[in-house]
Amino acid sequence: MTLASPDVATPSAPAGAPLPIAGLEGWTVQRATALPPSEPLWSDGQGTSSHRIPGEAEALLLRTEDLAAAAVSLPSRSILLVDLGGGTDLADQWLADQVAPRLLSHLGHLVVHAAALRAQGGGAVLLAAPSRRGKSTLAAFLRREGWPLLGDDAAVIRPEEASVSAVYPRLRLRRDSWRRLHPGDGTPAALGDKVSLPPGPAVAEAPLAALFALAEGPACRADPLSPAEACMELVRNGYALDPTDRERAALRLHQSAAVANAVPAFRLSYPHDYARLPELRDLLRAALA
Amino acid sequence: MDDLLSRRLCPSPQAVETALGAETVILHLGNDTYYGLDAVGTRIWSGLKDGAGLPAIRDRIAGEFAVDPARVEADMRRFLHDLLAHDLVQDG
Repeated sequence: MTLASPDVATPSAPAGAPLPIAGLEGWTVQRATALPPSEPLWSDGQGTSSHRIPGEAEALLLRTEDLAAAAVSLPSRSILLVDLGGGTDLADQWLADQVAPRLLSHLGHLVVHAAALRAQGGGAVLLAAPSRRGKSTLAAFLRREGWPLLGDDAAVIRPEEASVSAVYPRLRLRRDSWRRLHPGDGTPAALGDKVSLPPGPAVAEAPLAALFALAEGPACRADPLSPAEACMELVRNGYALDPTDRERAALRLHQSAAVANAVPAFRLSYPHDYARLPELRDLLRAALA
Repeated sequence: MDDLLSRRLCPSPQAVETALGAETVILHLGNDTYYGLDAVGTRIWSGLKDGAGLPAIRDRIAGEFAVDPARVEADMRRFLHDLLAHDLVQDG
C-alpha cells in the first residue's frame, strides 16, 4: 500500500526521512497535511485513539486530538505524520513519545512506560508508571546523583535476556521540577511545558536488575511484588498500537510474565515531595543490595 | 435459577492466562483488562479448565488445604461470581 498517495495526503518532502530509533531501522517518516479515511478501533478516553484504515491491510492510524496523527503502514514501513495543531516540533516529539513505542510493541517487542537508569553494579532499574506519576522527576534526581540514564519514558525489555534499553535516550522535565532539582541553574530549552536535557553518558542496554512500579502514598516505602503483581504492572504500563489486537495482547502478557518471573519487583510508594527524593534513592539501593 | 455450584462453567474463549508460580494472571482479550488469581483461585481456574464440576473442585481444594468445605464453598461462590461478572467464565 502507499499511504502517501496524493488523494489522501500531501507530503511536504518527496522522500521520507529515516526514523532514528533502534529497532525501527528502515522505517521512514513523511510529513503530510491530510489523513487517509479511518475507522475508530480504540480510545484511551483522554484524546488518544487508534484507527484502522479501510481497504489497507496492516495499516493503522494513531492520533492525539489537537496534537498530531500518524498513519502507519507496516508493508511499506512508512509513517505519515500530520500536525493537528500542536506544531511541527511537538508533532516530532509525539512521534517519538507515542508512535515509536507503540510501533515497536506492534512489531513484537515488550515496550513499557518506564524510566530506565543504571544502578551501581551495572544492572538497570525500571521505574514504571503512567504519565504524570513522577518518573522523570525521580529519574532526573537519580541522574544528578550519578546514576547513568538510559531513558525517561519508554523502555524496551528483552524477556529472553532480561535486559533493557530505552526507545530513545532523553530526559524531559516539567519546568517546575527542573527549577526544584537545579536551583540557580539557567532553564534549558523548552518544548511545550517541559525542558529537554541531554541524557548524559550513553547507556545503550543493560541487564535488568529490578522493576519498581511507582505509586502515590503517604510514606516512602518499597514493598516486594509477587510475580503475578509484577506481571500486571508490566501489562498495565505496556504500549500497544492496536490494543484490540488479541494475538499481540496475548504476546504482551506472556512476555510480561517471563520478565516478572526473572526479575525482582517492588512497589515504590511515596508522596509528591522533592525533599523525600533522597529517601527513594536509599530505598532503591536497599532493594538492589 | 439453578444453584451456582450445579452449573458447568468453563473459561471464556476471551480469556488468556499465564502462570506465575502458584499464581495466575488472566487477560480478557475483549476488554483488555487483566486479573490476578491467588493460589486458591488458580486451583479453581485449573479445575474449570479441566472440566471438573464445581462440587468436585470444592472438595479437592478442601482436602488439599485441610479447610472446611463449607468455607471453601463460600469463597468459591464469591470468586465465581467475580469471574462471571467479568465475563471470564461461561456456561459450558
